[in-house]
Amino acid sequence: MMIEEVELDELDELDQLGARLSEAYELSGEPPSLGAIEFAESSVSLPERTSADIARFNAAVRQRIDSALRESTGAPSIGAWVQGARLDASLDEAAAAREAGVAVPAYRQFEAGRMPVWRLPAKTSAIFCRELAIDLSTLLRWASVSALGARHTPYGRLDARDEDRSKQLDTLAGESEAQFKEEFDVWRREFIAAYEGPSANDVPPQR
Amino acid sequence: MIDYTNDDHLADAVQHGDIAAQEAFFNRFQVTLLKFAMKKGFSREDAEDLAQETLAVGFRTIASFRRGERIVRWLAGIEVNFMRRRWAAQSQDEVLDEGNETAASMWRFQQQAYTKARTLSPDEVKERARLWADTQLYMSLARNQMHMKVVQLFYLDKLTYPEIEAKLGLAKDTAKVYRQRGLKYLKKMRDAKPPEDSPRAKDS
Repeated sequence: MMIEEVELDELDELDQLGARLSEAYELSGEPPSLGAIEFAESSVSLPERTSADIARFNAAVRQRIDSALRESTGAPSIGAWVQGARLDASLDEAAAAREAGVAVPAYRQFEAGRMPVWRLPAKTSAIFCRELAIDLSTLLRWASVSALGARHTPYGRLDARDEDRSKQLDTLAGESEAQFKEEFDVWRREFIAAYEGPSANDVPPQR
Repeated sequence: MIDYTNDDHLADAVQHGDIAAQEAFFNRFQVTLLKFAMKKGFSREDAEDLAQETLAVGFRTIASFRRGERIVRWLAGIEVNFMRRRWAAQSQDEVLDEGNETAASMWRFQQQAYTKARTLSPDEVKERARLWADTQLYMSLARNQMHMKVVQLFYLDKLTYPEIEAKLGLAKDTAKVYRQRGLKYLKKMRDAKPPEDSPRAKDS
């Protein structure tokens, strides 16, 4: 057993210092230490999470993000958000459709929230969004959240009478999912490149 | 190919709407945030709610994540802010009504620290800010890092002695002595001439 040499008065003083240190830490706004986080991870046991648990959790997070973005932009969809910016810029629908690179009926579907932004041609729609001063990061994150949130695979089902058929449906679901993600990613990269690329109004550098 | 296990790369990719990064962001941190909230005395249901809210806010404000730091700490900081709001809103009786003694004692502990910190006078707040800045420096300079570790776990992370024992393998009596020695060292440093780059030295 260890014997400590601290006097009672000093003990009291040390306790006060400890309490003040706790308060100082509370006020500092410092995030929890990695040690505290790791300790929670190792000392709390949870039943193993199934892929369905994870999917449900992620869907709930996406829903919260979507609600918050609707609130912060004041628009129910990306299309409506762009529509608001277009109206602020006094641009008519036909001109907007032309700039975005789609026919007017398709553009209307987009503004009404019935066509996702990533179905618009990436290059022209990116330049159009930049002209309307639509924030790139917000748009891309909202697009990615709503794209995954609205994703309903037509194949991911079980055939109760036929195991082989269930496996085939699973494979089709996986392929469809992978294809969708790839398409979205190609669109996203092209969109970023066009948005961040030089504008038609940019003056070429002088020699 | 983006390495989603690298925090900076993950944050950049999330910020640019990368779907795979979004999934990695949610999948990588959800269990940690759940467990962290449960460790602080929240029920499984409330912990799910806190973890979801934290990830949603983290996703929306990823641009404010300081590159070079750890995402998990940044997220845990957001989660603690949500916890504090709940501690402030929930009365102790409500917690006790739910019949969860651990949650109730955790609530008392956190509520006291939180309330106390919010009711300090401006001078006290200033003094605590100095204390915090100096302590960080003294802790990093300490020769015996084990003493500092115990001070950190006890006063900052608010772990109990049995928890410190589980984490560091120190018996309660030893941990107590280390805590005292750690504080004694910090006090000695505080009473000595302040280091040149400390806020105390700049003020004087």
